[in-house]
Amino acid sequence: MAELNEIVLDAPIAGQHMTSELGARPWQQAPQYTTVDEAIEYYLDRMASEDFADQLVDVLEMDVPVTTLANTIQMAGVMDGKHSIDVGMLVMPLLMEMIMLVGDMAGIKYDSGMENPNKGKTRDTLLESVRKRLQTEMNAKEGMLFSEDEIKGEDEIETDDTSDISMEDEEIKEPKGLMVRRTQ
Amino acid sequence: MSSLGNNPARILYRNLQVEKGEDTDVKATRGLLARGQANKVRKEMDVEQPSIRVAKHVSIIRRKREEVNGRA
Repeated sequence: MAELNEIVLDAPIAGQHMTSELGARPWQQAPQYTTVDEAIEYYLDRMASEDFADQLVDVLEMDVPVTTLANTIQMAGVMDGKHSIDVGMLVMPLLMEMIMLVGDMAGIKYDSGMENPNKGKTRDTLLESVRKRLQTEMNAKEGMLFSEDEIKGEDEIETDDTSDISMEDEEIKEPKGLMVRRTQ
Repeated sequence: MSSLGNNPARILYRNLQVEKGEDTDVKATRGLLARGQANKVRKEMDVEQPSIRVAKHVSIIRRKREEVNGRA
């Protein structure tokens, strides 16, 4: 029974089974291709194969943007430990151009992804500023509906009410407790 | 924000200085002991920068693409 009550300090941390030792993953190792030229050669070799081109055309026909594809391909390269993120960023325009070349050679229409996704959308900040301006204008108009005398009268009434309440409080106030001396 | 908005590919592609990546002719030199022009040409073309090298590759592929599309 004593053993059961002891706190186990060497128990695994929650979620530890989902982690691995530092350096166990490919991206935690030194990259295979350290220069841009090596990375370009690696990608051009891969993209020159027919299987890759066929798959690429299929994906492009599904309206997946070229930018997304290029980003995914370079990210996969980083995850496989082929190159660093820096090299991946540098290589990305070339990947886009290659993907578009494959698409053009296949004679398909594809989405280049070069259009701004936020184009035509109203900015949230603009909406908020317009809403605030409208609110202040509405408040100003509401204030103009009531005359100054009316507003003053309301204030007086409010102050009278508060004075009555304070009087009632004073009347109610009586000393409490067991040791209080009663006055009659 | 969607993941498409965070994709850096569009900006990288737009900012690539392809106009700098035009090809320059390298004259062949004869003889084993002839001084090569490689270093001089490299300096002129500024190919020491990786982004310029990528731009050169991109310009070549772009030209090929324009040929395919019949715009050349």
